Formats: sequence, structure tokens, C-alpha cells
Amino acid sequence: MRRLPACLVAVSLLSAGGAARAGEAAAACAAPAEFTTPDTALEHVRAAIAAGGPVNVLAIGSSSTVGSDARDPGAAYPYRMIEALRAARPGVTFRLDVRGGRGLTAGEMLPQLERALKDKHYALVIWQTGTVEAVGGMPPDALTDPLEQGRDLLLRAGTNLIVVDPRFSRFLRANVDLDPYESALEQVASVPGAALFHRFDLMHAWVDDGGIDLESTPQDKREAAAVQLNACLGDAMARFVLTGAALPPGG
Amino acid sequence: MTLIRGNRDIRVDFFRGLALWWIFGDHIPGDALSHWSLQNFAMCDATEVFVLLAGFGAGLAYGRTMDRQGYVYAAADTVRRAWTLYVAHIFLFVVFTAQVAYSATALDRVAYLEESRLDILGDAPYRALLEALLLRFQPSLLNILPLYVVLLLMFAAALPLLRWRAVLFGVSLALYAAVQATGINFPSWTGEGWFFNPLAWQFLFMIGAILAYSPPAMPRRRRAWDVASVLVLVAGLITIFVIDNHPRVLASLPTQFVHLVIEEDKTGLHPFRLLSILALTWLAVRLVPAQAAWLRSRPAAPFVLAGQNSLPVFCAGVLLGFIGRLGLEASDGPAMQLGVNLLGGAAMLTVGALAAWYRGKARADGERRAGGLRVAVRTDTG
Repeated sequence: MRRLPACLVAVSLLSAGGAARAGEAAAACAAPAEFTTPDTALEHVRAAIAAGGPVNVLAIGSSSTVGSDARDPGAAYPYRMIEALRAARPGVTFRLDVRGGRGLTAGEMLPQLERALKDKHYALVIWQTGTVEAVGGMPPDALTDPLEQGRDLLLRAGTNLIVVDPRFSRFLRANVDLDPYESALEQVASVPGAALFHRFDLMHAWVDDGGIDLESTPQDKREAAAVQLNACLGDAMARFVLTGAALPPGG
Repeated sequence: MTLIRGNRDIRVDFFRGLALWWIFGDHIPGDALSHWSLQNFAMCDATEVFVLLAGFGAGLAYGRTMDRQGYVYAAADTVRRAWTLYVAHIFLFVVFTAQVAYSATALDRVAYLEESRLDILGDAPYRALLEALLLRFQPSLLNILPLYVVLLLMFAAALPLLRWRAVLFGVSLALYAAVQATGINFPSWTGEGWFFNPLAWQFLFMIGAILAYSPPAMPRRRRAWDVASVLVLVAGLITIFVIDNHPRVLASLPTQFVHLVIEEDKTGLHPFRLLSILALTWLAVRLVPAQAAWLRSRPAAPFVLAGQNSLPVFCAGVLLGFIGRLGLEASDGPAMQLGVNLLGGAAMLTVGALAAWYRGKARADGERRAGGLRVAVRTDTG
């Protein structure tokens, strides 16, 4: 279990808390295997890791991915995922690029993705999207079409794709009908080489189990909780990637 | 004075009431009830039922008016109805805005969900109001009434064609086919088109209107239709319970075919969705006789009452949905789930009963004013 150290780091960042807090964090972070097991093999990631790297990863998404909603963008989950991957595979070089921006639709991200692909070959692309389309009440096609274009482009280029769905929040759930967009994401990620990371359900499970719950965290502790949440997400995603690459997550 | 009118096809009222109840649940994300609505068991959902029966109601009411008082009179009635719906939609839009603003400020979540663009009103408030009035800005979950408004306006124009049902069917089908082929849609603020494309959904509405105005004779080979309908529904069940959960079972099949099966194009009323609602309609007609005793039973009465007063009940349902969403936002435990659904259901029924009472009162007033002569006072077409 390499998950524990990552959470320990997160917690020691939050407070000078001791072992008791670490136990809490581990509980808050527990990600059942169903969330960390993609239903497709991530062959290109496996090949890159087997070659010792460099494993080029591109993360593209809206604010939670680029970290525009936090004081320190480096605390966003893609960075934490790379840290967890490096910790799990110390001998392998992982490199991360981040694209996207706050409030962007998948259609607006597609050109950014295309430009990034021209410059470099990536073993893995993390594409987080769907919220903006859902909130705007756009037809789900507005999400499906650019995502499928991007996905086909990636698969042709020898790149695996992990689609990341919206984050869980009671506020979002109360004001937006996410279902059609969630189906669209599932549809896009239903071909070999592409997988869906169920961030919404995972975060929902954490909330239900009394783990990380940003919305019921008091304002003054929220930033610390956000750091912990990103560490937990990054860790779960690293396990998702390694499992998809048919490698034991523990190294 | 009885609140339920019996001099009509109660089946339509019952299923419309059922659809309204499903829509209420489906409109509260996270509601336990929504796991039991139609969309969990068929490739279509309450929207299809609602639109088909809205067309049916319109065909019956305005078709009859046209026969008695002429096209202009009937079209004017239809347009007035569309106007009522439009005003109701704008009212609900204001409530939606207030609800989002309330939950964002009172619960201190503005910063957390900046990315969500729910602050679209804050970003461009004047533009957003204008776009809402033009129906080009339809927030999530507020997209059925704009569709209904446009469908009624289209119907007002198409009324004369009701008498030539083959022509109406042909024109409507051609428009639907054009949408499937080209994807043309009404424009939205974001440039992506409407969530429910009226150019596609009009086909289902017109089918309902034709079925009501000039019901076709029952076909001779009914068994074959039964079997075909069951097959369509079974295909839907397989899609929902097997393919959606394990998309890889189709991995060996051509991608194009897979897309055809798993694509859930609600916007353009995917042909599979259309087939599903038509199959359900056929089986409902076959399995539920108009005189079925259970339709007049006590358990069915709430649905019939709601279905006979669908506009006020629908609007109340959307409004109550907002309150239910705030409730589930605060807590989604069993107590809140139970409270939201019981109180919501009871409130919708109260609104339905009130509407029925007012209708009865208006009719009685009309009769009194006419000196005891029976005068048809229609205040609602259901």
C-alpha cells in the first residue's frame, strides 16, 4: 500500500497532526477497487513504463484540473497523481503537461489538445470535462462529439485516454441534471484504450463514508481539505493508471 | 362536486399523471424515487410519455374546437395556451435563479463551484435575462416547457392538416428525418442548440394529436404488433442492463453499429427512443381497456387527478422540485428522501385538486350566468 504515504504527506501539510490524523486521512481516502480498476488495458502506458520512461502525461480540463480554483495550482490532482506515480515507480521518469482552463467546454479544449499532440507524443491523456456542458444545459452531443474526435485522434497516435467526470458536490447535483452527460462520458470511454475514471461516484462514496466532504467543511479549513482531496484523488488515479497498465499499484 | 371527470378516456389521464410523477422525481437529482422511474427500464423516459400525451390532449381539444368553431378560433386557443406556458416558464426561470443564488450564498459555495458557470447570471445578467426570454438560455432541468411552447405553436400552424392525417404525418416525419440526417436544431445562446430539439420532438407530438383526432382502426395482425413491441422493449432492457454496464460485450462488433445501439440521443429523439415509446403505447392500448375497473380505483385516483390537471400540476412539480433539491442538498438521508417525496406528492395532488375545483366552479358559474342553460366553459385542456 503506497497510498498511505501520500495521504500522510497531505495530512502533515494540513496540520502538525500526528498518527491519529493520519489514520483519519487513510480512511477518508480509501478507494475501493471498483474505482481504481479501468475496464480496459492501458497498453501505451504499460509500454512506456516498461521502457523506463519517459512517460509523458497530458492533463486537460477545467478549473479542478488546472488548479485555477486553488491558491497553489501545483496542489491540483494531476500533479498529485504524478507524484504518486513517481513514488510507486521510482526508476521511471514521469512528465506532466497541463492544459485547459476554467469554464472551458470539451469543444473549446479540443483545439488545445490537437496543438499539444503536434508538439509531443503522450502515453496518456487525462481529459476532465462535462460540468460546463451540463450546467449550460447544452445538448449532450456538444460533449460527445468533440470528445470522440479527440479520443480517435489519441488512439491513432498511440495514446491512452482516461476521461474524468465532474466532481461530486451536493450543490452541483441539486442544480444540474448530470445524468445525460455522465452517459455521454461513458459512451466515449467505452472503446478499448479509453477508460472513465468515476470521480463523481468516488467523491460521493467518500462523503457518504464520512471521509472528505468539502461542502460541510468550515470555510477556514476548506483549503486544507481541498489539498487533502486532491492528494486522495491523485493517489486513486495513480492506482487506476497502474492497474490499467497491468502493474501492481504498490510497485 | 366530484374532482375527477369520468366522461373521457381515463387511461390518458392516468398515464399522464404517472409521467408527471416521474418527471417530479427525475427533476430532483439524487432522489431515490428517480431510480424507479421509466428511464431505468426503457429506452425512453417520462418526457416521451408527456409529449405524446400532450399531443394527444391537444389533438382532442383543439381538433374538436376546430370542428365546431373553425380554424382561426382553435388556433387562437392554442396560441393562448402556448402563451400561458411561456409565462409559466419565465416564472420558473426566476425561481430557478433565486434558488441557485440562495443555495450558493446561504450555503457559502460560490467559490467552490465557480467553474460550473452557474454564475452565468452573474457574468452577464442582462444578456442572460434577454436570452431566457427568447428561450435561447434554458438552464439545466428547465427545458421541457420551452419545448412544449414551441410544439403548441407548431401545432397551431399545422391544425388544418389534422383533417388530412396522412399529409400531417408525412410532413412531420420528413422534418424528423431531416433532423436525424442533418442535426438541424433551434439555436441556443451557447450556439449548441436546444436540449430538446423541437424539430425532432414535434413528430411524437403530432403522432399523439393524430391518434386523438382521427384514431386509426386497430390493425388486423395484432399479435405480430404485440410481438414486435415486446421485442423493442426487451432490446431496451438488454441495452440498459447489459450493454450500458458492460460496453465491452460489443467490442467485436463494428463501431458504427455499437454507436447506433448505445447512443442515447435525447436531444434529437433517437429512433430507438421513439420506437420504445410507440411500443409502450401499443402495449398500453392492448393491455389496458378504456373501461378497466382499476383505473377508477382509489390507488389510481391520484394519478388520474394529476393527469386531468396536468399544466398546474406540472408547474407545481417543477417548483416543488426546487424545494426538494434544496432539501436533498442539505441532507440525502432516508428521512429527507421520504419527506421530499411524500410532501412533494401531496402538494402536487393538492394543486391538482384545487385546479379541478376551480374548473368545476367556473363551469357552475357559467351555467348559472346562462340561466341554467348548459354552456361549455373550457378553462383547461388537461
